[in-house]
Amino acid sequence: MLCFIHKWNISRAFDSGKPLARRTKRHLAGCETCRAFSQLGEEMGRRLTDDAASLLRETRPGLGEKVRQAIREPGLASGPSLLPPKRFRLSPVLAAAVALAVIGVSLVWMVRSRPTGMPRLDPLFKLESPRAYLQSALQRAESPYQQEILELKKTLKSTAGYLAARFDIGLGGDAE
Amino acid sequence: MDSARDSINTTDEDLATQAAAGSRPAFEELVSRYASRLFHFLRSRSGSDEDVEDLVQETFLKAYRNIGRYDPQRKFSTWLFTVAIRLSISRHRSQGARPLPLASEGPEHTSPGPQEALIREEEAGKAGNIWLQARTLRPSEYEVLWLRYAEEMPMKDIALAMKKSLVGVRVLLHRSRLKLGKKLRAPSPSAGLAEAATAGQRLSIL
Repeated sequence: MLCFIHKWNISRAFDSGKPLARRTKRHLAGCETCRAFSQLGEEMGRRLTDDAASLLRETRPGLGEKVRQAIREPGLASGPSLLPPKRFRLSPVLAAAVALAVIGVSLVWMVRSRPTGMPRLDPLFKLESPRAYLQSALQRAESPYQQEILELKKTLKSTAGYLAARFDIGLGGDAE
Repeated sequence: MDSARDSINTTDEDLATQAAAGSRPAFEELVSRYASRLFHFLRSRSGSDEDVEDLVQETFLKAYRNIGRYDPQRKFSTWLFTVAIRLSISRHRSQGARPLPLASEGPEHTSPGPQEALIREEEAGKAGNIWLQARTLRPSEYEVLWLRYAEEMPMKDIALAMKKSLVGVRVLLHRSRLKLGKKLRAPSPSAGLAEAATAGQRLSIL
């Protein structure tokens, strides 16, 4: 039932040169089909090797000379191009991938959304703004009294002006 | 005389290194060593012998042009067979033929046409050479068998050449052996041919 597994094990042993697994050996002792598979597989291997040798003894007349002529032709092959080994050269696919990545990153960088809103402030203004903010805050804090004082000052000034005009009492700088 | 003996004793890897340094005779020696092997290796991918010869020539030309890329740490045969496999696949594609990818392929070897396939199978039976039967398998199945049994390449080199994992190569080899066994078991078209029939009977249990 599990002959296909043992056949695979036998086949693997042909190629690896390692001895058969103990379980497969036990199976071979009791299975005629697998035993025959093993023997005939070996025979097939021998035939393939021997027949290849006999095939290779029959040389193709003129084939080698034809190839040598082609190599000597100056137009076809002027000689080996002494290129560096392939592993040191950047493969075209890799180069294209790098180029695409660079283009992609630069496009994203160019079109990405910048924070919109207030225009940039002048540096001096930046320095001034806290001070101005403080002054206005102080002003707002003092404003009820300040307003009152300013009103009183105005009233006093206008009263003094009126009195000075009405009664010449020599207040101020008209003294001769 | 001495130079001839030297070239015989020189390894493929040394010759390839010399060729990479600009020695054409070194490469021509490699051509002598591998032309026939490549011819038989590529036979499953082409219909006629002339096409296969052209493919062998193209493979060597490509290898010669790119010999500077060959890494002497690796086996030259693995590198050359890798070039051959890739070239044969791309050639089929560029000619608009049925694509023959390495991993999964369509119905096995119908490209020469059913009649030609029958003739091929009959010839295989006549000749009795197991590789002629193997040529009726899918190209990747034929190639893996060739690399394993004719080139006696280590499994990891086969995996490298065929761009597969080690397990993938083992599975492909197992499948190829099973299918070849079935093909040998099938009754030969020419019944009187003793050798193929005997081989078929012997391998019928596969």
